[in-house]
Amino acid sequence: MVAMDDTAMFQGSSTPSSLRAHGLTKRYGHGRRAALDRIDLDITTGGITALVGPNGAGKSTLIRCFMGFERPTRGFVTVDGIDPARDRPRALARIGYVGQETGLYRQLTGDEHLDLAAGLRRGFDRAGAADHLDAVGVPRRVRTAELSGGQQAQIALAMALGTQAPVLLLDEPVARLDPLARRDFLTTLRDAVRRGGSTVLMASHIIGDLESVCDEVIVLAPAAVMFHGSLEAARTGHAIVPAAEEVALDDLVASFTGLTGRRVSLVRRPGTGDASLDDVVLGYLAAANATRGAA
Amino acid sequence: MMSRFRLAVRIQSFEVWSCVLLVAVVGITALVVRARLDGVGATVECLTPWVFDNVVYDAARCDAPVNAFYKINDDEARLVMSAMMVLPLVVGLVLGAGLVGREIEGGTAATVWALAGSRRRWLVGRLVPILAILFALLVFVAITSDVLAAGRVPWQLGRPAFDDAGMHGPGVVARGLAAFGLALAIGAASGRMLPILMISALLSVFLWLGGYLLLEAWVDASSHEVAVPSGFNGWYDGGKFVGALYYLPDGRVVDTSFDLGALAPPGADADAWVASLKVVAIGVHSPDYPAWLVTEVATFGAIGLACLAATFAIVERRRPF
Repeated sequence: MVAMDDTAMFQGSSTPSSLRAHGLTKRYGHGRRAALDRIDLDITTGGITALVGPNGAGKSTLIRCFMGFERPTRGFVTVDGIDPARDRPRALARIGYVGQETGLYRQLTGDEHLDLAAGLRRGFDRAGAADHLDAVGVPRRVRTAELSGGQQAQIALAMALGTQAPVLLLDEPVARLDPLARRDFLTTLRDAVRRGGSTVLMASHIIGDLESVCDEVIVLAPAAVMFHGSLEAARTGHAIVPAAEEVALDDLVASFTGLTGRRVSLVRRPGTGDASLDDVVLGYLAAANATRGAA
Repeated sequence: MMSRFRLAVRIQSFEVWSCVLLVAVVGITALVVRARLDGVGATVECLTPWVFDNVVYDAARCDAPVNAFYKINDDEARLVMSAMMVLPLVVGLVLGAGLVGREIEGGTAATVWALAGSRRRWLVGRLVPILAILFALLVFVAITSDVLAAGRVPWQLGRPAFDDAGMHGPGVVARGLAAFGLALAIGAASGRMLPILMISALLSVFLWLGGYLLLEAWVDASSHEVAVPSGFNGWYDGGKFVGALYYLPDGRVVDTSFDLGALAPPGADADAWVASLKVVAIGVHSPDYPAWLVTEVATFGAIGLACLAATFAIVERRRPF
């Protein structure tokens, strides 16, 4: 009942968030392991939000809840105010999706994939998707089995972009790509989003690639959101100091072994910090580990 | 529309072309064997002279073609009919197993379910072309199996015989649809090809055995008296019989377990006396085949339709991975 009221309220909002999770809990299996535990999220319209975290943090589960592929154990999610657990077709009509696997048919060509998408989705921009593939140099008349991983990922992205959906959900789409293919994919995505103004939530654990394309970042530790803010806030709001340095407890996020092998601390320094995204992510994940260890 | 049909076929091209090839090879072989049976020139008068009045078996004219006919019938036609018996099940299983199951296993279900929004609409789009192909293949199997079956018993003059029950007309199509539905539903529930194929194959065997048991039960329930022409030996009308009854001159009716010879009047030739008795067979015969066909089609059709309905429900609820 709470979920319904909240959903209704959200639908009535004049500036609705594109993606929202409220008290979202998802448990799996007989042991009832929590993949997500009372997650609250509010992702504002426009731009690319990176969803980073280690394997098993619940990134895919969160995206699948938005897709209506998983039903929350508790709480709810909305896509432009629509709860996919209640009205999946209407929620999916607002979503373009690229999964971990590209999800392509090996025996079909790129053109045939676009035909397939055009047959399944009303308003699919087939010509635009074809132009996109031409622009990135993916042959459209070759079976996808004969294409590289990067080219297959571009077809999957073209299908998602062709939906002209206001929301794009990308579940680790670059995880299996080489650095060049990753760069091409992310550049294409960034350009398309700038043109189209859609809201993108992209799960990834390759942090280095994200800094150049993302506007916001969510650090998801196993089952919990540790940080959610703009990329700028992540960088300038934090600093790395030697672990031995004394800092106020309220400012300390966590101490951990940094990329250089030295013990460091991530501290909150709003407006004056100069941490890298790697540092921020590692710091918050260390904080999550410390919290779990203490628990 | 044509594009969606073509894509649905392309997505399952391996299964579709495998089935087309299999059905074509077996079906054409059946037609060739039928032509060979017809080609030996064994007339009905040679094969079953006893059903005609005033026809005497002409050994000089008939021996060679009759021997050739039975050799082809035993060596080739029986083998082909055995293949045709499992063909509807194999075709249904192969086309049904991958339709949803392979989409889930291959990770394409998430892509297309995200694009389609309505999974029901997606499933209809995938099902219709494959069902159309399955139907066409099964009709071809049904026609060719009928052609061969009729060639094996030419004295039946084209009437279906219970010897080849399950191999005639709509019954073939219904059995194939039931196998298709089973594999489809198991595929949607499991989402893994190996278990799908193993479980579907097992259930198809049960389906085949179930068809046999259903026929036995139907024969028991539908048996009636069938008039037998004089000269019971060698009589054949394509039926399935559970017994016979003799009408004695004193009004009693006895079955074949009775020692009829002992009842012959003293001094009479016992064999001739028994041969003169009115005899009726108990069971069903070829004119009853349409009634069996209704039962067969209704049963297997219902299994197929129930599985299709279950598939829609499963696809609507399950995860795409």
